[in-house]
Amino acid sequence: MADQFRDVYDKAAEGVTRHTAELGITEEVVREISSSKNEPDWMLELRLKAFAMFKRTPMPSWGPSLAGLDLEQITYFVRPDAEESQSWATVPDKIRETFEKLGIPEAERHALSGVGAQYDSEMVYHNLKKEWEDKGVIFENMDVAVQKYPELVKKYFMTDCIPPHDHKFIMLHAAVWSGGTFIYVPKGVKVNVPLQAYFRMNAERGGQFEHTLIIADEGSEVQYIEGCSAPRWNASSIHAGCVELHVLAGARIRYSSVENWSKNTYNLNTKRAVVDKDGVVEWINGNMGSGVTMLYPCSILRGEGSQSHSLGVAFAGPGQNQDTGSKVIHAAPNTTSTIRAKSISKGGGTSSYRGYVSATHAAAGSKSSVSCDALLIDEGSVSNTYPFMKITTDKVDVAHEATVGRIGEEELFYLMSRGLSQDAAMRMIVSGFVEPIVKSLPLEYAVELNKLIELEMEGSVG
Amino acid sequence: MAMKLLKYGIGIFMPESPEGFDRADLIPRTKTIEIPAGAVMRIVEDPEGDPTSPSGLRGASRDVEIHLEIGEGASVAYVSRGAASVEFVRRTARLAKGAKLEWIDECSAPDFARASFLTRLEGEGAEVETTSLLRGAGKKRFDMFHEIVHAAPRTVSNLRVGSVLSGDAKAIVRGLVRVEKDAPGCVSRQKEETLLLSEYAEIDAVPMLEIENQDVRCSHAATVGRIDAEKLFYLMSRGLDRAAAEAMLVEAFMEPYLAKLS
Repeated sequence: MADQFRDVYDKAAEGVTRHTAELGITEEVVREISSSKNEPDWMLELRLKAFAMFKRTPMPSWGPSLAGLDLEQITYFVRPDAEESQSWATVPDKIRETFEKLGIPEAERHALSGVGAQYDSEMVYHNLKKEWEDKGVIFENMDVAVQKYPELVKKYFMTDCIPPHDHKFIMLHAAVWSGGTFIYVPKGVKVNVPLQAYFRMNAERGGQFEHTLIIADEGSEVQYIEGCSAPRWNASSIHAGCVELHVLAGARIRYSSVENWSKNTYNLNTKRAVVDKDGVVEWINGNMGSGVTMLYPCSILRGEGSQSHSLGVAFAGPGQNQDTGSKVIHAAPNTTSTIRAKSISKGGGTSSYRGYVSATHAAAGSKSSVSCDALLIDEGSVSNTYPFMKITTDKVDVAHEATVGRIGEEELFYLMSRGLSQDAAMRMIVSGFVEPIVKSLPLEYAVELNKLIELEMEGSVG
Repeated sequence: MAMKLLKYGIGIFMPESPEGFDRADLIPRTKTIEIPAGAVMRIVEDPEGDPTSPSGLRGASRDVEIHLEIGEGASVAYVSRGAASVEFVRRTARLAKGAKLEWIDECSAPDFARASFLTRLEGEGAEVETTSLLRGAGKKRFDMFHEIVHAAPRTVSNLRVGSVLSGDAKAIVRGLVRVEKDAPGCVSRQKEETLLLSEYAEIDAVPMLEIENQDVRCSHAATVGRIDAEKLFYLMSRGLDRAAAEAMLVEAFMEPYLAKLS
């Protein structure tokens, strides 16, 4: 049963790519990506500038080892054999099959207001309910948005949220990005059902570099959920996506993601939000798959009274290194942040919380609270906690706490005395441990996350 | 700032000293102190007691490294107070089975201090307790690092670092507790608390954990804040003026640290 379920994610579909750029990255590859998308000059310029910076920037010297990642052995652009489609029925069978296995159309049937699905580098399907379209909500493939909404894109794409020079993998992303989601919610519009996208990396030695740009205009509200997966290949692949959230005054964005890349993926993702006056951003992150993850969603609270709340769960199984955490920069008065991170390490896996909270002079009256809990399931597993608090004003309150431990013998004994097997009891305790995160996800994703955790927990007991 | 390098030592005073440790000793720049099994002692680092420098170490700098080799079942309290203007101090300790160590430190060097305490718990059941107070005003800079390695089963550590910063004082306080693979049954607590008394005081607080063994109970907590407005209000409603009320609350914050020092 477990294997079958894993298969859904791990299996690659055959014969569905139409165009594959050559291995490795050169200026030609960057130009090819841009010209195949008929991009305006400014975008090509941005790509080339970023590529030049990428070439002269060294690999990061901290965090988990990236020694197994050979950037010359990655295909930077894979176009699936399909044009974007508005109707599920016209998506090619192979691709549709994969997504059906992953439950995409079901999710839509459950009344999500929009669904987009990306296969390798390009979006194959997206749909937005008419009701929202009429209110001026834009939910579009990022490639299309560059053509259709040049002003909005030019204003917000890798400008003051995540600039292209941020770090090595953002430079790479800016050079070769493809696909992703663009969402614009007009002033005062409250989208009360979640928008959803699913990213699937199918090609061997593939790279997925989707760009998600969400703009919630003044007083608007939107929820966005994304799921990510990739089949298991022998060669390593890379995911270096970029998520930019612009929360304008009084707006609210809830961003949820469940990332379940195959276990030889290097997941080097960058997510950041800039939050204006009284805006609220909520991050909900589940990191399950991938070999190495380096992911630290960041909120820049630059408007007075803005807020950031983040919830994260990471699961590191055999051979996995989950290096995740949250960052918050308090740069305006009376801002608030909460971070709640949970991690589970099992079968020799390593999970690390690496967080950063700073409060600058401008942040009088701000508050931050961070709590991290780690569960070590068995011998040989590792848990690290590296929080960094940089406080340069006396007018704030900052608190951090963390605990690391194993499943309590008393808890186990109690459940087993009630007739549960040891295996079932452990699973129940783990479910309880991650419950605060699971319960803030929409149903299908909560079910998926629970299933994945159960799957990973299978056979924990000798 | 005077950067006069002095050739001097540190006076050690041991009230209950075992044989061989019966008088004040002078430590050169690096010194290993071996503490025999079963010994019970309190070591007081007294830089002001340098006989060649009657005015103590004001305006001076020092760069010292001290290592404690603590034998089985020995129990040591090591009290230190930084007092040179500029300090680079590294204190390390290795504990054998059942040994106990208490680091008690007040880091009050007036200008700059980089201090580290590195403790390795190598014998089963060894325990270390650290009480470390940083007080800084003016343009003081601190770089404080506490590292505790649990390298043996059932070892215990308790780390508490308090910082009181005013004026332009800036501090980076790092704490690292590491529990190694072959060290089951360990218990560790880490607490970093900071009181910022002025708008320009700054703290970087970095309490870290590296846990490679599932059979542990580890926790850490860090807080950064200002004087509690409610407590202040209470004291002022009792007739204290603001300055006196603040001073009282700062004293209360430091009390657990100062009590250990005396």
